[in-house]
Amino acid sequence: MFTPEQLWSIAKPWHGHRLERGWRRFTLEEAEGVFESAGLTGPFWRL
Amino acid sequence: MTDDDVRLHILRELIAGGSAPSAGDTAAALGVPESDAAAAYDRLAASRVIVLQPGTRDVLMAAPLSAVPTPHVVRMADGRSHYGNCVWDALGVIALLGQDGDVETVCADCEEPLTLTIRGGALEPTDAVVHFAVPAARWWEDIVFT
Repeated sequence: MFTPEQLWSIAKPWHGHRLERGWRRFTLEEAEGVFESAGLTGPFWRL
Repeated sequence: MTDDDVRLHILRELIAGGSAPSAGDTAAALGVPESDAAAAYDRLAASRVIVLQPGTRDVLMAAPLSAVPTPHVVRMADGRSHYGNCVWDALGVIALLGQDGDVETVCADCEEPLTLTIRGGALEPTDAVVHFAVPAARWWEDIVFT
C-alpha cells in the first residue's frame, strides 16, 4: 500500500509529457527511477 | 506522417471530447492513405503506446485516457470530463492537461465514492490509500485487468 501523494508524484512524469511531440515511453531503467524517486522500491516495483 | 503524428491525433481527439478516431478518421485528418494510418495504429499498439480492442483497430486506451467509460472520471477546471484507465491514469490526465482537476472514483475496498483533488499542481490532503494488485513486471500481461 502507498499514498495518493506517491501516485500523484509518479503520474506527473509518467503521463505529463505525452502531448509533447517526440514523447517516448520510459526505458525500464527510467521507469524504475520514477518509482524509486517516489519511494516505491522493492521487488514489486522492478521491471 | 509519423507514428507520433498519429499518436498525438488520437490523444487530441480524445481530449477534445470526441470518441477515439478510427484509422480512417486519422488518415483523413492527416491527409494520408488509410493503410498508412492503420499500420501506424498497429505499430503503436505493438509498442504499447495505445491499446486496441481485441481483434480490431478500435482504440481502447491511449494512456492516460480511456476511449470508453470507466469508473475513474476526471473533471477538469475547464468543465470538461474525461475517463482514465485507472486512478493512476486519471491523475495522469490532470498532469497531462496541466490544470486543476478532480478524480472521482470508487474505493476498491469499501466501494464508497472517493475524490482526489488537484489544485495548483498539488494533491489536497486525503486519507485514502492506494493498492496495486499486480507487480510492475506483470502489468502488461493483461493491461486491461491491471
